[in-house]
Amino acid sequence: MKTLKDYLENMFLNLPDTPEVRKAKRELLQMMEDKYTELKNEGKAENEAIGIVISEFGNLEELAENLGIKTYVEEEVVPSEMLSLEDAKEFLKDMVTRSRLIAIGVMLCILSPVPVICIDAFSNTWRGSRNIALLAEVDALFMFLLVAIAVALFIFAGTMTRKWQKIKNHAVGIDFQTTDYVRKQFENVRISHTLHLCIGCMLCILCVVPAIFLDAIFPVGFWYECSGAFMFVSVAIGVYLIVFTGNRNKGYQSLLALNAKGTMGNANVPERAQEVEYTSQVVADIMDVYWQTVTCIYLCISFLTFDWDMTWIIWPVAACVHAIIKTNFRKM
Amino acid sequence: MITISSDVIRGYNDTIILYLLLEKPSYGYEISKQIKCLSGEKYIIKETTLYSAFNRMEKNSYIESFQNEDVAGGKRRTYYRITDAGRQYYQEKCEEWMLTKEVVEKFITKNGGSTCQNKVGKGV
Repeated sequence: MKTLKDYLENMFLNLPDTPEVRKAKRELLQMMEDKYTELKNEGKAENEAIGIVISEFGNLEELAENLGIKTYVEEEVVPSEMLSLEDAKEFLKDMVTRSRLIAIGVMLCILSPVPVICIDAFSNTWRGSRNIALLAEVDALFMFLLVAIAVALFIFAGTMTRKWQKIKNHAVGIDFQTTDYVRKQFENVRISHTLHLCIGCMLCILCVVPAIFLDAIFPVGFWYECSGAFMFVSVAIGVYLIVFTGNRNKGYQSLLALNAKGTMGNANVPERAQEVEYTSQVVADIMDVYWQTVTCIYLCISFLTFDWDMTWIIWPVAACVHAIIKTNFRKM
Repeated sequence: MITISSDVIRGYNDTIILYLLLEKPSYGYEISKQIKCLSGEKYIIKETTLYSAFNRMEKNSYIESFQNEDVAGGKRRTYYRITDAGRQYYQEKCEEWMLTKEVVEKFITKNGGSTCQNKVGKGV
């Protein structure tokens, strides 16, 4: 029975997703299932029954004229190259590795002040030692070292995607079997995704807790001096989880988005993942770098003024502006 | 083995389906089964052909569809019933077929004879 369903799904994959087409699919499946059930009852083997049903199914060209989708069937909307299941699996694997690399890079950036804080704490606690004093002189080196490793990771992650340029350009398509596989895998990681996000956010919000505790328990000494480092550690782990899972999801979504817009196959893509198209190229370019720009402005203003209690207001404002641009310039 | 050319029979799929619906409302697979049976398994209608015909005839309001539960299985199916316009259309198609048959028959040689010249002679 599943084979029949798959067969039909494949036939309809690149047809537009309209009520008429959906109805046709439903009715055809009904007829196929009826025939299959009867053949099975007559004592035919499963393979034989499926073979008969499929051979007597006919073709979609006949339907196309009636359903007003003739252009779809004749124009060959099917992309010239199909991504095989193996390729899709490899792509997903690469995307996970890539997400991990990027997330580690971001984590290292956030962790970069930690060695400085720790070395300072050491040198303040044990003033006598010459080695530590020497270390304190060059502590900034460690910060740059961590940032350098992070940048190297970013560049490496960037080269990993080059291999999959065709997916980014939407130059390939995926058949039903692959779509189904990707969709199931995507479902499987959903819980993990939610967990990553929750724990990540919690760690970010609770980042001050270790520092508060350490300060309360050790009023003086090494732990008191370096308690600030724990804040960075907590944020770093939190951000790692969020960045990793976000990037991993993007991999699944970009695969599922390969089926042409408005087709039956495209119905598998979650609403949010569908790329918004804008009416003007300028707006599209601006929107491409929108959040990065906002983040940049936020950090610049905050660090310059140190009014952290005020500057967060930029986020809700930016979200409102984003929504306004999206509704006004969106291609329908 | 000679099989029915789908091009030739295409014009009469509607007639065949309407004939079966004259008796009682029915659903997709049951109709295809009846066609196979009544034609002595010489004509097996494809699912896509059948659905196209339903779709087309419903648009022309020769038939109406409704949801009904199967008496035996209790499975919900789309049933079709013939309308008055459908009955009328069926009558027209029957007459059209009689005429078509009459004309085409004249050009089918039964014993390889040259009936053509005789008839032309008679006519003149």
